[in-house]
Amino acid sequence: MWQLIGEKRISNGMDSIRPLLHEGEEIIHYVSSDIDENGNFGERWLILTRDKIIILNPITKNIERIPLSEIRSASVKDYIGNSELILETHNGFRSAIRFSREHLDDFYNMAKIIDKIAKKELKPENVDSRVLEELLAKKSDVKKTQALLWLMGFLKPHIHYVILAVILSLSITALNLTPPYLMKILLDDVFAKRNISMLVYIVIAFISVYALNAGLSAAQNYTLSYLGQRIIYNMRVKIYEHLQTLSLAFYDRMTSGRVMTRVTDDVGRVQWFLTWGTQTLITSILQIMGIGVIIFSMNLNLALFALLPIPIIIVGIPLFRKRSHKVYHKAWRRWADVSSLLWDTIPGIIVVKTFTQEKFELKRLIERMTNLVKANLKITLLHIRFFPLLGFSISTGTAIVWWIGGHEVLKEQITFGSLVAFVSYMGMFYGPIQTISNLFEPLQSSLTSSERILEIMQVEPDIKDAPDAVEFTFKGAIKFKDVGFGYNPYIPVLSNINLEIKPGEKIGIVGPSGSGKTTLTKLLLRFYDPTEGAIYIDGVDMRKIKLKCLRSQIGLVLQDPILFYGSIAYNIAYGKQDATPEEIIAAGKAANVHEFAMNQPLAYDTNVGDRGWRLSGGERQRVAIARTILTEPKILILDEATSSVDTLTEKKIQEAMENLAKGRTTIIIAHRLSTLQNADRIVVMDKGKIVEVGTHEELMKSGGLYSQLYRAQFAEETITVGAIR
Amino acid sequence: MPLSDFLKSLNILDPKKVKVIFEEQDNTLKIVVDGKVLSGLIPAKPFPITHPEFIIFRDSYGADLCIIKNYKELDDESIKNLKRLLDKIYFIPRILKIKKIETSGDEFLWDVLTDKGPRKFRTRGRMSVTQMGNRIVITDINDNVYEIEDIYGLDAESISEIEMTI
Repeated sequence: MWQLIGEKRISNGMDSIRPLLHEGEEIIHYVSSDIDENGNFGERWLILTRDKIIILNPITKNIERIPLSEIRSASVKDYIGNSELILETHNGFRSAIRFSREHLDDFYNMAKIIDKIAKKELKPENVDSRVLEELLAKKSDVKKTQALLWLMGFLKPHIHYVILAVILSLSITALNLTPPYLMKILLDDVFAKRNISMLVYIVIAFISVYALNAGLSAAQNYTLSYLGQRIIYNMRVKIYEHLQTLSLAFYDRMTSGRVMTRVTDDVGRVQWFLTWGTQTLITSILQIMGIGVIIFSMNLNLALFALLPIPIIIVGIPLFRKRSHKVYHKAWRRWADVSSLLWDTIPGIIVVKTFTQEKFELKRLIERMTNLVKANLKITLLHIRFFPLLGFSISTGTAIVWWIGGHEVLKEQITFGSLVAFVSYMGMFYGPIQTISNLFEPLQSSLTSSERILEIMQVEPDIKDAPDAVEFTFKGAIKFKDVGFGYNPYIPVLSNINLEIKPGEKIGIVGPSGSGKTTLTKLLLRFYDPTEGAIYIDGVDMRKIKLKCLRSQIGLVLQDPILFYGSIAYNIAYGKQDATPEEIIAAGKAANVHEFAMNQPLAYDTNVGDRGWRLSGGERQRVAIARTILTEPKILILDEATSSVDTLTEKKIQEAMENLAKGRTTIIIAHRLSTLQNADRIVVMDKGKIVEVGTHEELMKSGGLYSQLYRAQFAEETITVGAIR
Repeated sequence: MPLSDFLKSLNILDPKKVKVIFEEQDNTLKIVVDGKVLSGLIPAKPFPITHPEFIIFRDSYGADLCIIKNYKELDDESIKNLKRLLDKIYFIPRILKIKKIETSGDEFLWDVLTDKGPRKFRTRGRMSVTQMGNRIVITDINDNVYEIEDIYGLDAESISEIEMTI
């Protein structure tokens, strides 16, 4: 929002910029910052023209011009709470402009454009709107009307149910208007005229109206629930289907918790809006209109008095909601305090007991509970302050109508029955007004939810099949050529990676943590595409291989493998859903799963629990290896997990991995260097670069990073063993 | 190593060529296949729920010796002999009628009639009930296993009781 305002200001301030440009000089792009040249909050603009960069403070008119011809590179340096755009000129590096992190993306994009121009990859005169669109990161901008249209699209296939629900709502509204009229007849024609025969008809009419109302309400309830369930079903399936197509980069940007909230909570709120929300709104409006027409046609004078409490309702309820929103939120936060304490201390009870802190924890809980009680009482106080007042003002309005109407009855201007009917209608009039006032907030939050869902639905997968993508059976040769990559394109994690791996070769990758080992393997599975260079499999650029073909021939065993809720057999057969029982057992035996599986109560049919919690870390690892063995991949990536298991388990995992690796191109990310002695070659990585390649002996001889790491680890293991002895 | 190598090592036997004999003295099985005799065997079901017909024959140390993919393809005498031991090892009563399912906290208290007689047991959590089509396998809190072969083969009251709960 601020950015938009900033850009608008620049657009509006173009007149002051024009004199700074020479004849025919065009502006390519501009961004605004929120930190001034003195490091205080304040506006500053960076304007890129075809010739130069102009940095301007619109308030102080302080101006700086840097010719593009002097710039060699541009980059962004990210700090805490702020960042800066750095320009490299022949005099070295200089800070061009500072900005808060709110503007980080805009300045990253600006840096990208300047950098490309500086490095002659882009000519300033060639930059037009199309080029800019390609260069700039896409911004999701979901408009309310767009969200609303998208939502309505879900109603379309069930339009007959929507129509039925509207007809039912109309009928119920009409029926609800009947009893007061019947009461009028009862008082004026039956009781006043002592017409006993008519009493029967009126009572029958009452019963019929109530019976019909009950029947129609049940039908309306079912119709709306059915509609809601269908919508929620379609929406969740559509979102889930879309989520499956999105690449890992999306999940890096958005945490899994946030994605799940979209599928669960947001869809729930949207469903409410589409069914009950809209129906309640329609019914209430119709009811107000119907009763309005009735009371005004019954008695104009009384009707005007009946309107007296309405301003209080219309103003009071939104005010109340605003206040209550705050106190409810406060109570919710206090409850979160209590529950977070429970989530911490109950699973961590061993620590509490070890340090004998039971009383301390009880004291903490009492403090938080006291705050929760206080917050909840505030809600009660707010309610008792508002609702009796509202009730009183409505009752006063009714009392006034009784007073004025009473006089009219006594003067025989209207009948007693009419007055009673009028008061009944009046009571029915306030209900829907209160309902509508209460509806605004949930309606608003439903719309926000639909915007949030649509935001996900509009994300395009970064990684997808090229139109000319091919499929073939891999031999297993891999070639990294000048590969560079960064999760954030401006911060490289890998650079200048050149490596050739022969089919069937066993390669170990080692290096300090953060050296880019795991990232390298992620590129191989095409979870991300390299930002520079290319990776070839059997001589074919990976981007030209169908994703399904690529990933089905590359097996990955993660350091901390993820299993799914289901049996051991289900998890082993996950990558090959049509696996036969004997194949599952064969894979189980190869991965050393068989022994422990057969000791489970239901053997391979034993449920492993959510994410495999019922199995130990070592067992999970072996099930994951069996899962990979079953798919018979041509290329294997093993993230060695031996740090948190005992020696015997480690041996079993090693055995399983060796069974898996035989005859396949294998890349092992090794944490214990001793396990790599029989690797064909070892690749040593440091700070995103390959620094050494060779056999264990060669690398030990050369005395480089590998030999240092090896000696450090060997010394550590010797010390540990010595300490145990 | 390719999976086929591991498959070969499983020693899968053709049930048509296998004779299973029950050995009374030590409650084990003897297998005669192609003139060879393997004795002191204990049958095990690696998939007691999804493929209950799949049998691994193991020696007294728990080492797998051979496999029969579907024991129902054995001759009748062999099936009878095998089942004598299987029925003891795999005591999975079949539920014939559900009298009542009560909920208490996150537990279900089942009152049922099985082919082995009436029984009351408790289950906890969604992992305790596994549904595969119309078949249901229930594991109680003590890891006892019960089976409903076909929900819709039960009487109407039992169906309604189970549909209300699960």
